[in-house]
Amino acid sequence: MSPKHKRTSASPLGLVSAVVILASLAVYFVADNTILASRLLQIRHHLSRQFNTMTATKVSPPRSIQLYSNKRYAPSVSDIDCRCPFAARARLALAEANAEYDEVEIDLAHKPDWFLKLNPVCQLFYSC
Amino acid sequence: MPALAFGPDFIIESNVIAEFVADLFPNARLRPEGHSAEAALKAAKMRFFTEVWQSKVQALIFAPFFGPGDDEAPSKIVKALGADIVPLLKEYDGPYVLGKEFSMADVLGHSFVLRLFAYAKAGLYGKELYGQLQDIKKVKEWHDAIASRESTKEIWDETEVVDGMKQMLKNKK
Repeated sequence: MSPKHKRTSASPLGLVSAVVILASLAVYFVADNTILASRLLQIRHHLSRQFNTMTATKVSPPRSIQLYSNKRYAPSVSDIDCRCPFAARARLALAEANAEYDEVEIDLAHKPDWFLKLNPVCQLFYSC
Repeated sequence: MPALAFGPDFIIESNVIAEFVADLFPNARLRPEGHSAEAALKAAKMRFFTEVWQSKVQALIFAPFFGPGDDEAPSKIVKALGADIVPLLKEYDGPYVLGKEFSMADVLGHSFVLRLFAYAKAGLYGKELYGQLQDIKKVKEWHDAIASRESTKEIWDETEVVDGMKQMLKNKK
């Protein structure tokens, strides 16, 4: 008989050792589960952060978008509130869509010809 | 009035631009989803709200500041909000026009309700209106929900808007 096939007989000492090993394993298993759970939580947080970062990335439209509006106060125009509530509608829709776009400001005091051609009724407050 | 260039094409009129953006980015979910009767009904409610908001309230918000000015505007605003807007906001359970769903009706109304509260807070309608607005609970709830959205924070600068209006009124005198 080769030594590797030799059976060891069970002794009271062996039994105690087995119980101790099993108990240690049980403790380790429970502790390990706690670690596992907290690691899973960490992973979940990490993934949701990654997801948020991913969704924060702007969405590219199929063609480039430029929004022409007057975003800021133009000192040259004294009788209108230049922070246009109408342009804000377009801006909020684009922000909700997380869309990538360029914003181009139009000076209401010097509207470019092409803009006037687009919008012949463009004047004063309603041109905002 | 804003204009939007989409490649070589141009779109004008802010409502049309916002609708175009909603069509171009369906993932933004600015309209009720699906083809159910429920979705059709919500879409109708959403559009009706915009009609009422734009015809009954919107112009009043700027009425004291333009042209000859309307001193009655603040009381007309309170009346219109209570009579026309509150009943519509009560139809669904939640802060937005369609309850918990943010929609085009909120997009199209947001810039005016934000200005109404901002100008009122700054006392541009006199002393009373801001306090009165706090008591119109549904409208205040709608305003607060819109103001706290991330998208709103991206594009809305209350100080700039209020200072702009103050400057305009100063120049008018």
